[in-house]
Amino acid sequence: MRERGSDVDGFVASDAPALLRMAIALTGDRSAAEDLLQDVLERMYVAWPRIDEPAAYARRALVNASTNRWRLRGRRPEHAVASLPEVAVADRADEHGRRDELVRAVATLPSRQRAVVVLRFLADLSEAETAHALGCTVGTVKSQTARALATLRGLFDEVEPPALAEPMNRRSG
Amino acid sequence: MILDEKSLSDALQAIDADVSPDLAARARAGGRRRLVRRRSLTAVGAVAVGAVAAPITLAVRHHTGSGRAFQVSASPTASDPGLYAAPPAAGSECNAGNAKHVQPTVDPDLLLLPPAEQPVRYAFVRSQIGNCLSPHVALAAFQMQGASVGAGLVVYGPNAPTPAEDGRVGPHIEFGGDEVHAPIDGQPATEFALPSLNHTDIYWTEPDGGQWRASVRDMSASDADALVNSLRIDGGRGTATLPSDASEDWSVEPNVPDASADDTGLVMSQWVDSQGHVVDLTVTQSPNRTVDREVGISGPESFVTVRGRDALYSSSGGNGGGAQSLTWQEAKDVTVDLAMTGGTTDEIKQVAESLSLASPDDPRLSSG
Repeated sequence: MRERGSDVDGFVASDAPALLRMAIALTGDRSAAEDLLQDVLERMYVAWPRIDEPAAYARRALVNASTNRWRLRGRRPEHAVASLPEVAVADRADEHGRRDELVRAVATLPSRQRAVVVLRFLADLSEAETAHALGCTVGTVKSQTARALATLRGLFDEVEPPALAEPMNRRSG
Repeated sequence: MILDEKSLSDALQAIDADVSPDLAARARAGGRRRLVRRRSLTAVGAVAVGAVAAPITLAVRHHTGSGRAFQVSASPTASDPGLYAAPPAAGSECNAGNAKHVQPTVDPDLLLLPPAEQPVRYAFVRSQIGNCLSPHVALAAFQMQGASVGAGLVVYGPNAPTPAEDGRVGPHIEFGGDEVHAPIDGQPATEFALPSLNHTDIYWTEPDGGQWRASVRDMSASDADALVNSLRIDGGRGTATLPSDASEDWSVEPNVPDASADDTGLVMSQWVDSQGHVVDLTVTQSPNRTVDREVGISGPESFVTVRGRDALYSSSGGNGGGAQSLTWQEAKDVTVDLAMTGGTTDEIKQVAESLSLASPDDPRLSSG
């Protein structure tokens, strides 16, 4: 049994930056992300004695909460559109801007694709871990990852054929 | 810009995530408030459950002539395990196969694509292997609130997986919801509630050994408890029935056979429409998957009409942003899932209307 209070504070101190990063990627909006994370942390405080793996719990809770369309309606960026404004791509000085564009593009993906991208490429979970976190199959993770990458490549005018049957990621376990 | 997995990972890792210094204090204060609320509600709920359980037990006694709630002594569930499929083994990867490319001629009825003049990023046909059976659906029902879909209920049994078999509990598994234990049909039950999603999953075992699961959406956990407790469970016939006084409020999906484990065809395509919206289309040969059953399982917002058929409409992020989707049955055993990033309801409906069956030798089908 875990104790509340100082344990929760310790977890927040160590894991909150990574979780906030996840929440921002999932929502595309910093204030919505902060609300989402605080909500999850409040629920974790309640459930703390029963939580064996706080980081895994928090990741899954964030994904679940972010897919709640009722809660997010009106909070997502008003102009989150599929066609992003053109950005200069040749100058390395624009790298920061390109990254911002990419993060905003991730936030426009359908919820399941967004969750898969965030868990795979931000939380660095394996395909099996991502499937477990989302309650779906490894096959679904693969296909959603491929679709998300294809969509993002399309948004950035880098169209490449998908390869849904083959593992696409660094870790396939 | 070359978008590969590394650049994507780098961009996400570079998100500025300066955490407010008082986040821990705010979370702690909010958590304490929730604890106080929960303890109050638990006290009230205990009284309410007791009050509800008594009349239900009486009603069931009348129905079955049995002294135990929902006991079906003649049930073949335990004695005839072959009647329903065994639940998937824990950790198994049912329907995990994205399988292999097949020739488009294999499933010509699935070759739904945008008009010929619309180029696609890719379009291909695959076979998808269903390598284990789904649990039996004993009841699927939903409510309408005006033009919007309200609550949904799907009951699986008597061969539903246990929480452990469903991957909800066990070592190194933590479910992102609140787990409570309230009796269902007078039997010990395990309940997983996601209050923020208004989604509740309840697992319990009937006295005859039948394993059941109810999935309720867009109802509070306490209302879900009351609803599931009001069902009449028949393990022998594999049915769950709403009480007669509730049946007027619910649309009940007619019983259909369970999905088979046969291979199914799958046509996937993606393109960018004239407005710049990314469109994903999946056409699936899906025996016994029905649109009405989907209502209880997923969370669509409303029904709309496309191609002369009822379709489930869902969106996230609001009209004009985020994503939206339509699901409808194009023909018997053929389900279409259409998703669009951005756009409006009318625009995704227009895309749906524009789809047509392509020829197996359509050159776009080789692009996957």
